[in-house]
Amino acid sequence: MEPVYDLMAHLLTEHFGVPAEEITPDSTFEQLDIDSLARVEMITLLEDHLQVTLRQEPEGTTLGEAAAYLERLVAESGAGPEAVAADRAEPTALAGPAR
Amino acid sequence: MSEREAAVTGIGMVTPAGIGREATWEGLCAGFGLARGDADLAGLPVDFSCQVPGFDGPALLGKRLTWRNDRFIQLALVAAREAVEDAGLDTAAWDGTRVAVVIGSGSIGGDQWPKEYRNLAEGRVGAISPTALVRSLPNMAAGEVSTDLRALGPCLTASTACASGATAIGLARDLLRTGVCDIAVAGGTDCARLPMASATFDRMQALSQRRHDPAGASRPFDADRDGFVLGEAAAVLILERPQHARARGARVRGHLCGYGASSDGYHPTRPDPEGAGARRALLAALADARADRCEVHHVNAHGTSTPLNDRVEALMLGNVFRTPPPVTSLKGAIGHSLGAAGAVDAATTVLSLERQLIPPTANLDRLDEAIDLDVVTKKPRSHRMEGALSNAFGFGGQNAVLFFRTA
Repeated sequence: MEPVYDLMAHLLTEHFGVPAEEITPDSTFEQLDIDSLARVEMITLLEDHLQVTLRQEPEGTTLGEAAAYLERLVAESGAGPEAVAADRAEPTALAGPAR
Repeated sequence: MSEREAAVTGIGMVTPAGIGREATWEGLCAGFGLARGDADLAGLPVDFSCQVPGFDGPALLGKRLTWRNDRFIQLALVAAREAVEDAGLDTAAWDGTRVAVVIGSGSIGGDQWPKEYRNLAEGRVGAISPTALVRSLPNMAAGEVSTDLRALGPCLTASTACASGATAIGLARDLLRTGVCDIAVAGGTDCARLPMASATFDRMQALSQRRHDPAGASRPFDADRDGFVLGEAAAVLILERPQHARARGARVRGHLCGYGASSDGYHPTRPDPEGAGARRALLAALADARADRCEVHHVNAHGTSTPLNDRVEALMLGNVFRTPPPVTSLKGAIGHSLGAAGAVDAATTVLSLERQLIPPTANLDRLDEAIDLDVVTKKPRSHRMEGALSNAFGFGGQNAVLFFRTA
């Protein structure tokens, strides 16, 4: 499977238009100008690519941290998409309230 | 010049005749029908439309701006940027609080609705994009243009179906007249060539059925016309208070002198059989401009190519003018872009006045015997003009007419 970090970097450039040179494992979503709406869209796209159901991510996380977290979820979901984490306790908010 | 008027200092257009004002003008003057097969409509009874050739929103605007905006918004953004550039305005330097945005849209939109409704129907709510709604709201063209240009004054949307673009320009002129802004970014946008639009307009028997000859399908005022052709477009004018335009030494392409609006109060889709509502809008535009009928030297008609619209519009013009001035309809070339059409027509009317040239009505081979108009056809006509009307009539019986004069 394509590493999640690479997939996220690919989506950031190809779907959201983030310049590739700005993307590093230490970049935060804020630094990349990925707002709450874009974060939810990103989750939707990741779920589609990874065939898993994801909880949302801690806000302010770096790209590298988010990728590692998602790798773990994907690994744990081995049995199938529905197995992942509807009841996980991880704090959330890759998305935030919009107005 | 009176401060009642608005100076037109910039024009931007994105139409099936081309991306950009001059590409559009040249395409319109060429006089050919531009409809062709549309892969997005494949399998439908009407599978052709007028498409903006080579429009690549991400390439023109960047993915940061396009991933969350439907095509009608992208079209508006490109047209608005061109209009601002044409006006020689610097958005980084202007006082954005004195700049209004008024963009009309029929907003039949929802590029992504089919996919999202499938998700909903299949219980996959989590797969629905968070942008499904905001990317298609009718006000978002104005909102995104305002954000893109840092235009921070009143930001409004007009939705009067096929009159939306003209209504928006008229409302923008009113904002200038009241003094709440110095500059108005005004126009219309729509991407009407969507499967549901094609299906439902076809069910209404409003669309041309010329599958064997898409390029000849839209033929306003022609005896063999059988309906309109769906299109897509955006057109944006920069309107300014004359004093503001003078103070900065702006090049003025023309003046918006009159705006008239009315309602047929008759039927959701059929025009008043005598054209009474359209007539009242036209006369209101002239009264607003304090102009006499003899000052109208050209009419850019609504001219959709439906049997009923063209006949009623011609009847109305014949009743208003003893001898109607030369008329053209752009829809023969570029189809019907619904909420954008009134703005495309208005922008082209300004260019016609500026250039003293009327683009032809494409596909008009044999004038309907019931229509007694001097319709420009086959090639552009040089014509001495000081004043011209631009007509726009929408479903709901909503009418908007604009009167322009030369600069």
